[in-house]
Amino acid sequence: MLQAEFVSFARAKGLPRRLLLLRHVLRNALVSTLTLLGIRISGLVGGAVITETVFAIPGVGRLMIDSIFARDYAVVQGVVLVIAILVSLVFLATDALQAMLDPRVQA
Amino acid sequence: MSEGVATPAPDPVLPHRAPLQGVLRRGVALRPAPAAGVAILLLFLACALAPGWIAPYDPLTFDYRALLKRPGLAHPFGTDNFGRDLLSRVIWASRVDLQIAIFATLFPMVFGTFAGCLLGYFGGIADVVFRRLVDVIITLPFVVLVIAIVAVLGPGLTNMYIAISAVGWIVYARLVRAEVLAQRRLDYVASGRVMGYGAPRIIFRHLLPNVAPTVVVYWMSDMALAILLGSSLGYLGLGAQPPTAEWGVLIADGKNFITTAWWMSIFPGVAIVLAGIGFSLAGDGLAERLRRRT
Repeated sequence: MLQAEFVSFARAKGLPRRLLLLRHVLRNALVSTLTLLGIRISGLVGGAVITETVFAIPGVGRLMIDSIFARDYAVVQGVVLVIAILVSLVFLATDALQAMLDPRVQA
Repeated sequence: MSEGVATPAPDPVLPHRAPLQGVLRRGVALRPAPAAGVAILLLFLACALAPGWIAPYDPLTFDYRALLKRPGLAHPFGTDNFGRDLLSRVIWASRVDLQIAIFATLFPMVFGTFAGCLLGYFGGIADVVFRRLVDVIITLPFVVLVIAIVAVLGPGLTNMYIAISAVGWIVYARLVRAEVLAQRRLDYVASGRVMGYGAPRIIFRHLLPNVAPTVVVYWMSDMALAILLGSSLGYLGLGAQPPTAEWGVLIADGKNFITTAWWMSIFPGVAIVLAGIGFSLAGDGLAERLRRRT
């Protein structure tokens, strides 16, 4: 990103370094980072299932494991659905943020 | 290969190169990081192939005179609450975990590559359906989905393989599909078609070899991920079942003794980390080498 032409242009314009980095470089660098953040968060929720079991945290993941061993499949189903909705919302949020940062990204 | 024989006459066109340099370039020598990875993998492979020769004790025999022994000369990794030697259990576990690394990734790789080739080459309605399927699967975190499937099928190694395979092939199919889509426009595919080759011949004789390196490199990292997932499920009690020695199961066994007998969980954990590092380093080396060739 630092090698992009618009950066050299902004620098030539005499823009302060702080503004250049914040508004021009960071904004554009964030676009691709956001996609990764969304995927990471979905992995994080999956990891929470294990972490919650290890440290006995009474969370959604723990609930899922407990209901598996209690053969309470309705709860398992519900938990999977809740997690799927959560992850979808995160994806929606990252997509919206991406469209805000880069107007070329459409819906 | 003749070594130390008189050097061949210098080639008038090509720059002269010492024979040893040629051997090095052909890849006998590895750079330190991939070499370390391969060494680690060979160590675990040896443990997996001949655990009976390497392990000093039986992994399942109880010894009530040696309960929860600290690591020492007789038991380098200590013993567990039934007096079973931990070193032997970790060694026998490498057999189960390498098996997980291979079985849990082999079917997804083969089937995913096959499906990806067809989807990328033909497209059509199947491709549209596949893209929607990917959208759905991506919404569910991989671990959560696998755990849910195992929950329905019931705990155990076989059901774990089925669950991972049912979800895992999609990643390969996506990877291969994207690669085939890019390669399909290249000249060699067009010339194949001009020569009158059928679709199967173009896909499997021409496209597949060009896609294979990407798949193999991903496969290496996927095996590391499979070991992590396999031991996570083993830890949760959904994968390998006790008394089978599996690294995740061993860590779970030690959980209740973690404040008094740290060695029960630490050593299997170290084994998981080592195996992961081995696969990553070897995979990186392989990727680097394939990149240099093209």
